[in-house]
Amino acid sequence: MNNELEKKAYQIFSKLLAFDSNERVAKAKEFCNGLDSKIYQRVLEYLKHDSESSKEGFLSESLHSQSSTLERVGSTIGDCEITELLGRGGQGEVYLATQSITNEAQSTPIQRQVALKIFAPQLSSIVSRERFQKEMKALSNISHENVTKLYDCGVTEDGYPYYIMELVKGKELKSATRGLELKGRLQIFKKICSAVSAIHSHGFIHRDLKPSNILITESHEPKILDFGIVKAVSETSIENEEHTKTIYRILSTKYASPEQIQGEKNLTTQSDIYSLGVILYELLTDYSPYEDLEQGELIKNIKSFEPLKPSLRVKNTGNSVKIHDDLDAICIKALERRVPERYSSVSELENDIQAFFEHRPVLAQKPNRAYYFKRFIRRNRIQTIAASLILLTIILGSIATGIGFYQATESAEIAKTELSKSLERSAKLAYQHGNWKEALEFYQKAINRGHPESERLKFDRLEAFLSLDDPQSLLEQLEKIVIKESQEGHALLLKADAKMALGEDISMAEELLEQAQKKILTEPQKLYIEALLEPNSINAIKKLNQCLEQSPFYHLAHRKKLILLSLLGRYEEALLQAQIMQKMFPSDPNPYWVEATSYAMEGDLKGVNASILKTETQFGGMSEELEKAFITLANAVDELRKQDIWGTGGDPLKLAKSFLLLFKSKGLTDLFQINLSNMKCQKLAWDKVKKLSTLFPVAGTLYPYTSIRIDLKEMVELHPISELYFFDGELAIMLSDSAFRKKDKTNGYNLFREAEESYKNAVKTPALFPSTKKRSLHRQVYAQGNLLKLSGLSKEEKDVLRKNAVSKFHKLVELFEPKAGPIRTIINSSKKDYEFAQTLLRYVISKEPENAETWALAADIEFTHKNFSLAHKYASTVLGLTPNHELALKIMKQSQVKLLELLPQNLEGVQIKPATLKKSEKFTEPSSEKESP
Amino acid sequence: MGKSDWGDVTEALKKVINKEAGSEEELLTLTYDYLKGIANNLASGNMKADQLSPTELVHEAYLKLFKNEAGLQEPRSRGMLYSLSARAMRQILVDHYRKLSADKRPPDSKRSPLDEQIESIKDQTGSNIIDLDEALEKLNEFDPDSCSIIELKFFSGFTNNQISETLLISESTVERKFKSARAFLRKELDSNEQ
Repeated sequence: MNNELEKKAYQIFSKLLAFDSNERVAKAKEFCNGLDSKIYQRVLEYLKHDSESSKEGFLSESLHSQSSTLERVGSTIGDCEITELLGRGGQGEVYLATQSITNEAQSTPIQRQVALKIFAPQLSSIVSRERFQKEMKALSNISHENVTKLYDCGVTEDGYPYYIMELVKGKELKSATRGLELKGRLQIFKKICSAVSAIHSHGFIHRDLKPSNILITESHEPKILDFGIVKAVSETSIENEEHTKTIYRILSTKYASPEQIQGEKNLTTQSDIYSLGVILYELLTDYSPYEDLEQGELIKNIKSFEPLKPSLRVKNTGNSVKIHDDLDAICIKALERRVPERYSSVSELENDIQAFFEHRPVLAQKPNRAYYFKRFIRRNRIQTIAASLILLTIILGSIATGIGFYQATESAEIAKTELSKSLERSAKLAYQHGNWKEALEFYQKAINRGHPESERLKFDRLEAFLSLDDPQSLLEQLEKIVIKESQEGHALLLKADAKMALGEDISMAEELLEQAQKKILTEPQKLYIEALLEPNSINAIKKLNQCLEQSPFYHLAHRKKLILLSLLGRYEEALLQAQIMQKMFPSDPNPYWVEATSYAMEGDLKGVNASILKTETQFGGMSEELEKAFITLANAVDELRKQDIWGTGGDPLKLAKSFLLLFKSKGLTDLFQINLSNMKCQKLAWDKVKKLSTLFPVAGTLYPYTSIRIDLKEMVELHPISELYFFDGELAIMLSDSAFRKKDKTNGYNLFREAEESYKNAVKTPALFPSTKKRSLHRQVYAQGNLLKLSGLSKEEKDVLRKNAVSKFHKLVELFEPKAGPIRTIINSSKKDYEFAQTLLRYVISKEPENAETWALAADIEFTHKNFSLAHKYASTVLGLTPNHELALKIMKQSQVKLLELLPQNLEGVQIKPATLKKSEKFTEPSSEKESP
Repeated sequence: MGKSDWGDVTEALKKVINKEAGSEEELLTLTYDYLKGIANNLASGNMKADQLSPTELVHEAYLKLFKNEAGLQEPRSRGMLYSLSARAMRQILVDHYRKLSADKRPPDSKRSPLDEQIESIKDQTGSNIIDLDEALEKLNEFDPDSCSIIELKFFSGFTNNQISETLLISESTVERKFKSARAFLRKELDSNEQ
């Protein structure tokens, strides 16, 4: 079996692993269909090897763990017999061991199960060994129910320090608190604080507080592990101190204080408070305060890092829990990066948590009279409300029969309205934070309670369907309800939007929108409709921006903006918009793939990888194929960039082929279709994104220009995008060039026309690369400029063309403010048409008045059109800027000669050195015309 | 403790980041030299106080490199160095084995951690390190990522999570690629036996 087949088999096999194990054989058959039968055989072999190796645990443990585990289990350390490895961390290993202790009262030893931790770095001297034991002794004095009891310590025969401690059976903090409500979590946190406080009171700093060092027992008691160890160990083994610290700095920066990360040697107990702050933050929000930073960035930015308030984090993540601003304040005070601003002791932090429970003012809040007042009201109101709440529950539970019914009726009415109001409020909040599903549920609940829907409620709900990419349900609902006159405008807007989303006839949707404009609308709705009706995407975005200024949570407007930016190829802005939306509407998948697409289109592989990871956490990931598609795309773009895609050195044929390759590959085709169809229905698109499978097959032979154009034409029908038109234009120009060389003027001229047409389309259609449109406009102006040069055109035709070219140029200027350099190239090639060249030149002069090339070009044009005195004047301007400018010197000399010939009597003002005159050769064209059409 | 000049390594890493031709090899050689220095000490058993596990060795290399190069603390360059160090670790073991087969086996009392690791490769895979190395080479041709995953996991003791952060791929992809690599190696090693 050759290598190619082997490779193919391996690839198929590794693809199969993405499927459930019972589907694999069937899938293997499907994938191998039509391939060499050997491949199928080999794939089956691989499947067998896979199941065998996982049964045997082949290669599943690293070399490191193998060799050292074997050494310890079964051996005896001190009075302990090691039975099992429990875990391995950065500093060492933890074993389960049986300890035999002799009690003075009894003669027979009792056995107990203990945990034994052996440190990785060895102790190097007797002195430090003594010190280590002294430190450990002090630690074993700490007695607190939430601190793991330390029994004994020592140094192994081969020189590793160890200690024996109480065996705690429990779950790690994070997994233990997963299902717990906020209050339960805070109670546990308070106990953790009290344990840390106890450690501090014995003069120790924990230095490594993190969820994995806190176990929660079955009775919900936290137990702190590994306290004070880092210090005891690092201070005793001097050689390893630097090592331990630096390794530590890299490995658990997530919970370390800024001063720890910066390598501060004299840490205080406040360093532990910071770690507690991080833990509290995670307990409150389920997210790390550094969620938005990568680890490398954390180390760099620790000096300036400001965490997002927990309440905002929760809001952004779409969690329904509400974090009180007192908790915000407590958490932020603990996370203060400046030590003096932080809580000065753990008990202060603990007291604040208690104060929060009791609705007392917390220390962390900046003193402010209104705040204290609110707290007071809150404390006293609770009792009065409590009573009515009980009543409310009874009524809502529909058991308000019999006793007290009569008295309850009136309160029930109030309660009902109150409840509906609060449901409505919840729905509104959920809606604004992008939890549309939840919003719809709240609405449903309100309706089920028999509350007559308010108009506001009705329409918010309907909009939620659009946000959830379910336009069909929206239309169905619209049919069912009665719409008041004041809401007709909104209803029409929603209907039009839903129809657009379903990909129905756009003109019908537009009609609806125009009808809506005649009805009552809010200001943001008006702007939104204007944006939808605006044919120019750039203006549409401007409208959407105005709309969002007035209504910042308008999801539909946000989403339209996102899509337009991405379609226009403005990837940097699209990226920013996507990231803003991810924060505001975390349950909307669209921003995630726009982010990945934008990075891919920019050739930013790192960005693509980061957004793949993000999708993973948010939606459980995308398919491997899609991951690959994005990565391949990013690489392809990067590659194209390296080939100097838009530089003058790029060979259009080569580039067109690369593009064709990109487009022929199914991956990009699908991706792009998704991009377009996104306008129609985002949900379908997302499903499609998930299902993408085959990507970027290698293909491509040499094409002559004409057959590439045929391919391009086909392709462009499927994907009307700027790049394809652009390349068609380039190729048409090349063909036209060769036609002219063959003296086939008609054909040459027609091809040139075709090129111009293609560039025109390239300007109109969406672009993958933002600069394509700019370049297309350039080329269009260039093509038109060149057409002007061609002979065989009537004066009228020339006039039309010129007018057209000039207006195109103005558009180019308006949209892109092109740099002067490329425009100079165009001028250079169209300098025979004086008027056109002058228009362009004026722009270049306004852009770069101090550039010698600008004036050289001006001089050149004037010279070409026989305005020798102007040419002379401009050339001398050039020489004032660049004394030895070759072209300017030449024009200077030549125009002097011409002026002499024409007006010999007017020469006083012009100084001529006879020697120069003698040297000047016969007139030649000042610049050679390199650019051919 | 290292012999190699870390200034050189930093320079080499910068070149790798700038994608200069041949730079990856240069970095690998330099990293290898450094790790080799430590490994030699490990092999001779005269470095008690500084004995490091392979994972620590790799971290150590990383730390040495980045101590004074705050600007380079990018995940990308870190991932690159980890991967290269893991490859170097594998190389060290191969070299050590070759040396052992050339010399005579040392008496049990003088055995070093490297000897034990080579032994444990035999225990775990039923093959010697040379065969494993060759199979990995072949795997590298088919699927370089999978090869890096095996190196990081098996030779350097990285967890899936760490590998995911190092190679910038998702954890589930790490697990899947690990499985496919494992079956591949298993097949290669089995066919060697026959």
